[in-house]
Amino acid sequence: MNIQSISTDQDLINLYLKGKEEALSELVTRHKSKIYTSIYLLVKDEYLAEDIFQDTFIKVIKTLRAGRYNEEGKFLPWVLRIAHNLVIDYFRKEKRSPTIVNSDGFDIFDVLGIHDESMEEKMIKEQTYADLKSLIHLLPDEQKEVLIMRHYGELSFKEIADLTNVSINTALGRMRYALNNLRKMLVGNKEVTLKM
Amino acid sequence: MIATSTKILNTLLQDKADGNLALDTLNKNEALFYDLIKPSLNNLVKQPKQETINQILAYSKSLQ
Repeated sequence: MNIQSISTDQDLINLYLKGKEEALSELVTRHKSKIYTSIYLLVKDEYLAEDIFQDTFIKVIKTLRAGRYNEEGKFLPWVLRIAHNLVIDYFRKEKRSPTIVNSDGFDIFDVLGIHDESMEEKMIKEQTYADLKSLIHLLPDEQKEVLIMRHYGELSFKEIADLTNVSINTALGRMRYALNNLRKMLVGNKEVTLKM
Repeated sequence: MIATSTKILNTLLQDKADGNLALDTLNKNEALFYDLIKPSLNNLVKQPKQETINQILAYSKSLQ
């Protein structure tokens, strides 16, 4: 049987529980980029993201093997919920919030301090968008979470609402504010200056 | 000396405080902007190291 041809996550889970380790490998392969990107954009540190990614799947494995998985058809939202909780646990233990400057040492003001107005449109398209990662990190945590879960996790607003314990309207509202704030930062970059 | 404006961040904090407003859906401008930045967002996708994946799979096998 070709494991990769199996269409549903639930079928892969069933196979894994019957002892087919390849099914777990396929589940990880299938969802690794969405899960890892979501974690990385929240914690902004590759090493930490790797650790949390690993811890997430260890919890997944333990739960599956214990027969406590009951989210049929919703494997990815379930895994993202575990990852999200581990991220929250990490920051709770650290007793700090995510910082603005990321682990690459990249400073947001390097992006926003655009001086050559004649190149503004080109800069917005080619540089500022390319550095969108740093702008995302400037969003309030609640807005950043929704944007990441919606775009990278491809979760519905209902799933995001369930995951973050808010109403669907609140999840939607946070997405709207995230988009509006990103737009403000991109359009308003002339208001932030960097003088050396 | 580094001089910066805090106008944008103040706006974000204000928006955060208002983040519980009930809103139905993205309006046209918001949807257009989202479509505009999607390629850039997609460029941010990252992959975990193969070593990390191997450790996960090894952990699972160790439970057999």
